[in-house]
Amino acid sequence: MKNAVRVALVGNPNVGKSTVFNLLTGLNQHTGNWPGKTVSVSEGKMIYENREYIFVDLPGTYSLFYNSPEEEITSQYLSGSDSDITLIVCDESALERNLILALQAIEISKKPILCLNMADEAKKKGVEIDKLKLSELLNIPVIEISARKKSSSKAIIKAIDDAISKEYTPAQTEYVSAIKEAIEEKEKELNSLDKWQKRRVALYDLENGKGVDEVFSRYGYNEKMVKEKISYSFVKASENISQQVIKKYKENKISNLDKIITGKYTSYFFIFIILGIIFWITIVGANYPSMLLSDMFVFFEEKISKLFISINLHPVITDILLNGLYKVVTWVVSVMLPPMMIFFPLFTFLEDFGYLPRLAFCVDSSFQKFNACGKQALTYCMSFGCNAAGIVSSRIIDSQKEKLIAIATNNFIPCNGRFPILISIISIFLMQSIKGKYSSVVCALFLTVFIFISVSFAMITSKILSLTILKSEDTSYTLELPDYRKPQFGKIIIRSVFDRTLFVLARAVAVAAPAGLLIWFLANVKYNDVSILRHISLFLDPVGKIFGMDGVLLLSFILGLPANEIVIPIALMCYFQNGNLIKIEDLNVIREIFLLNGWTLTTAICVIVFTIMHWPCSTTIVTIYKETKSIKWTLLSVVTPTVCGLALCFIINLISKII
Amino acid sequence: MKRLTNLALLEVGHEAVINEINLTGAILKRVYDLGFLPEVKVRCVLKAPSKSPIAFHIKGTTVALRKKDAQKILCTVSDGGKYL
Repeated sequence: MKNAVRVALVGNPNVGKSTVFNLLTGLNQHTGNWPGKTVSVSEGKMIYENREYIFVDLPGTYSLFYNSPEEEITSQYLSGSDSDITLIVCDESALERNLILALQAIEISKKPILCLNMADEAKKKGVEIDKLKLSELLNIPVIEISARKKSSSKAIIKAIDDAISKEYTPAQTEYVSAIKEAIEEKEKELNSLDKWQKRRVALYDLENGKGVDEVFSRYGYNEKMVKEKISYSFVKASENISQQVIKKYKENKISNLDKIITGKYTSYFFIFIILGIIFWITIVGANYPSMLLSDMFVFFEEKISKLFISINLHPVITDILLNGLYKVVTWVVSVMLPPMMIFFPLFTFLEDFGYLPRLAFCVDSSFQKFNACGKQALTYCMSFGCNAAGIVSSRIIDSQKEKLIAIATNNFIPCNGRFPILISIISIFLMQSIKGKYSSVVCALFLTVFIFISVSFAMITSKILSLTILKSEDTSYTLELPDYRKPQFGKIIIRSVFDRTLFVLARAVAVAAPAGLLIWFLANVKYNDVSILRHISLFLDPVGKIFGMDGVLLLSFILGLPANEIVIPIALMCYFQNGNLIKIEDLNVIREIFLLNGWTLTTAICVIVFTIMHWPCSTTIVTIYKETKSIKWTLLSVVTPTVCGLALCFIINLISKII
Repeated sequence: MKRLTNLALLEVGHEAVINEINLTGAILKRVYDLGFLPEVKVRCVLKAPSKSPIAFHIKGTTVALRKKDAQKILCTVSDGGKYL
């Protein structure tokens, strides 16, 4: 086995860097957080002709000398001893802009290779690059690939092998004289570091105002000018090189699709239609697979039950395992999995196609009125599928403050798990007189009203948070609109299944299992002939009534922490004083049970409101902690929707008492 | 005839050359990274409903800035001449 090679991938966002990474590593990859930070880095391997290649996909970034954690980590990785080769991935159609980052990366990397990606698209647009000249000017290897084509991986591996075996010195960027002198002065002080570390630290220090005062006062520079001159050096160098190597330039045309999508009157129409279609397909499409999964689990339950009998397993243990553990876990899976497997691919399709930045573009000014940003809309869209996935998607927001606002207000958005609660209660209580073919339309209208209320609350809370707890801070909002691309359907399905669906499901099951045991215990262990569950629900009853609900409902929401899907089943179990969760399909039966237990219209409305505004599910809470690494912000995200929900329920209850 | 204006006032389809960037802090750094510098040519290509953000073609890419930031980037534009 030859020596292993570590390759770091860097590049601007939207250049297909992840496609390159996936091409090279296939499913042989995992994503993790950089130790101690909230930046996610993917690492993967490939073995080819007796050599192991380890690829590290660093975050997409526009520069390396910023203060953001992504840029710090990227530049540290490139200049440190963790990587042997730096693969700089560029969009061939946007070489000039991409060179800005490329030149910075070259500055601090031992062995950079420039990789011009999306060569096929560039060709279609009429772009022509003189690769030989480019390689000459930069003095590094330059290759041209289309990451969507499997054959490209061979070209990349060959370039890596060549680069490993030879010595070369990349050309360094010419800075303006003042910066050049300042760097030289700085580097003199950093003798203990090697060449690339020296350059990185020197540039960082200068960027952050730790200037060389003697040099700068001679030239008459202030701090702002220092930053400008450093950037200027890289941008000018990239312009210079581009002039010499770009033989034919891309025609600048704005696509007709964009004109329609962002038009004054058409944009919101588009958003409603597209999101509406996705929700509709998800809700309707998930029903049949849910039933199938349910039936399959029941089938296995019977088999397992027979097995347990045959080995003479104690009936109580059988009860605990089957009615406690198995029932709750399979319930969660059969209700959670199908909507996710439909929603996530649809959403990923929109992402791949390029529509999502346009969405953020259209809604940004509305969101700004609430001190939020357009990208927050994207996290909300994702949350309709699953709140945990919505939290993860907040990574697209650069500004820390805006990201925290998106996370803290995320749970106002009802996820797929909560839709069934909303739909069933709407059907039972708000649509008694409406029957026939228009009933589903009316139900959808009611649902839309409640979603509108929840989004409004999310926005108002965003504004309140931005004016109080999450005050100040510089926001630097820019949005890139990449070209529309043909989505790769196969890869979309695989990515949505592995990245998003399994990840959420695994976390949910991890909490559902112990929760199932707990629920069984509470429902079946009796004290004074009455189950502990009943004791607790009676105890909570006065509290529940203050908020327009009752003890059973409050307890159901609490025990529904692993997944909102089990809230109503738990409530039914409590009302029936049963030992395990029961499945009731008939809404009329459910209505009877609710009415028998004292439900009124007020109860229904408060349950709907509390469903929309209460603590996040356990998967989401864990995800929030992993994304923020802060207990404080996790607590904020738990408390914010809960307080709003309780307050609103209290007011609704009060009003109903007065009327 | 050339006249001085700012990027927010650029009409869709019109091209301009950047004169001066009067931004500070994080947003200034970000627009530099995206290639906005004096003497660079940009073209306004899209305006969101309510006129913010505004998308520009710059160096082969399409980048959108908020109106309040675009207002602080001064540029020179030629009268007439729609380049589409």
